[in-house]
Amino acid sequence: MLSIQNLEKTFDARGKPVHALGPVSLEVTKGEFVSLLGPSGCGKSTALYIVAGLEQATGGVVSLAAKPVAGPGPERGMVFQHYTLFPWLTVLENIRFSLQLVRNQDYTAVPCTLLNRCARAEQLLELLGLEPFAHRHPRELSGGMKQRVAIARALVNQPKLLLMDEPFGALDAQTREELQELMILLHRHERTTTLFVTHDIEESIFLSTRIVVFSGRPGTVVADVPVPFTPEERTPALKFDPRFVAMKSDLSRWLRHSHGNIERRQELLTRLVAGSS
Amino acid sequence: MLHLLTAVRTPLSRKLHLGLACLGFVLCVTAYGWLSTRPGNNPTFIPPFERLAEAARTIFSSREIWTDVQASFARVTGGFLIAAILGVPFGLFIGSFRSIEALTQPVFEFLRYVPVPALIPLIMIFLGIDEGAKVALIFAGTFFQIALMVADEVRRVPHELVQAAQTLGARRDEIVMFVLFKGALPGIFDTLRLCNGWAWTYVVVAELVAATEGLGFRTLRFYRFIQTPNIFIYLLVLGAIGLVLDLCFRAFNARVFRWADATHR
Repeated sequence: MLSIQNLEKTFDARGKPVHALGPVSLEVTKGEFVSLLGPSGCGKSTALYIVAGLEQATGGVVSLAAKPVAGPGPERGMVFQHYTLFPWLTVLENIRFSLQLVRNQDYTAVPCTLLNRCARAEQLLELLGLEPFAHRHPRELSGGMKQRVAIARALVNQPKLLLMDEPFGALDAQTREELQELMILLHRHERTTTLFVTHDIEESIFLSTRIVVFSGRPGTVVADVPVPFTPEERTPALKFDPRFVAMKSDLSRWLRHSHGNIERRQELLTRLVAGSS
Repeated sequence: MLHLLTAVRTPLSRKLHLGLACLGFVLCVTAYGWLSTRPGNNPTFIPPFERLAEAARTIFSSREIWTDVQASFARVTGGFLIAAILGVPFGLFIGSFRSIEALTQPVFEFLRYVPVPALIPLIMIFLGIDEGAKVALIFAGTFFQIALMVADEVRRVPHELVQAAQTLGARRDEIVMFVLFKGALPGIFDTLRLCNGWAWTYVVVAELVAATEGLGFRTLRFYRFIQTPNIFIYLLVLGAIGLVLDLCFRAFNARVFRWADATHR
């Protein structure tokens, strides 16, 4: 469904080209929940922004349902790392924002479809536990609540692909776990194909059906691992399952290797310790 | 007690805030009282309170002051409204599109720094000395400021909000209207509040030249007859009008833009 071929990105930093990403190739099929896991600065977010159409690739092709991606569009919903709710709209108005846009009006649709879409906003509101806050403004919400609204806002239009850029990165541990469980529920309910960027190994195993591990800059794919757990198995208890723990240690080894110069650092550290004694 | 007054950026209680605000006025009045009763003071320059009270009584019982307030108010509001109606969309476009910014911003920056009083001769040549000239002067003084300050407010809307709207399917016009304009609105009204204050400065300048009524004109007339108490009363009226308008704008912003941070309220 989503096809990424030889994607590359080179930044221009004061006249000097910096190779940030690629070449990366990746296929995502319908209904998958794929995590892009990698160290900070490896270009995984850049890859996501390119898929969203918010950034231009310097090489390669991204296509969704066989159509090449050019610029942002409502079929690729996005949840950002930072809070991006419209502060002048209430929670419900934020969720309904996309429904008023011309591009999302299906003129051939009979009014009842439109009604369904409005009902969908209410439905998501309930599903995400936002009902008591429906008429509040974003500044009155906690960080976790804001991200819930952002998720509902992205899903209301039923995007083909949901893009999430470290959406829980700024949240405290407890809220983060709460939202992770909510994501499991949502994915079971909505089956939206999802591309999820994170640097949290546990989060990636817990949420995704497949994990793509990126190396450090320039980011390339070093591993592509399926996650065998069924949706029913994904409860907080799973994090203590031996298979989960084993997978976690495997991935962290992959990640460390992907960082490349770990041996050099080890060497440096040994020398420092030796020097100080 | 003292630490309440000297703490950096710590909010005061409402009572203390009001108390200090009143104290500021009281200090001014006391200083004036001291100056006016000092031995050797010429009461023509700094008239004592009873002369001011007498002047206030005559001024407020005549029709003149009301026609003056009306005339000045109409001029300010006329010029300011035209400037706002044209300046806000201009600013929105300058802030939204880099091409329009490149085309107009340098020109506007230049025009904004042409001192308004220096435009009077030119405006008199073009438009004569009627009402139109005065309104035009206020317009010239505020239009470029409004456009540029509104553009700044539009640019201050976080780019992440634009990106979020794009991924939700917003078209170019929808981004401008539903995101940039809506997001900048509290700042835009704050800009209008400031520029309305400047418009009152320009109306006085405009009336000093050629007018038959208006607060600025009357002040100049009082000068001709050295009626210092009357000048003071008129200055108080000008200040009061400015303060009341400012408070009205602030109250409006606080009510309508409850969603915004405290910076614009």
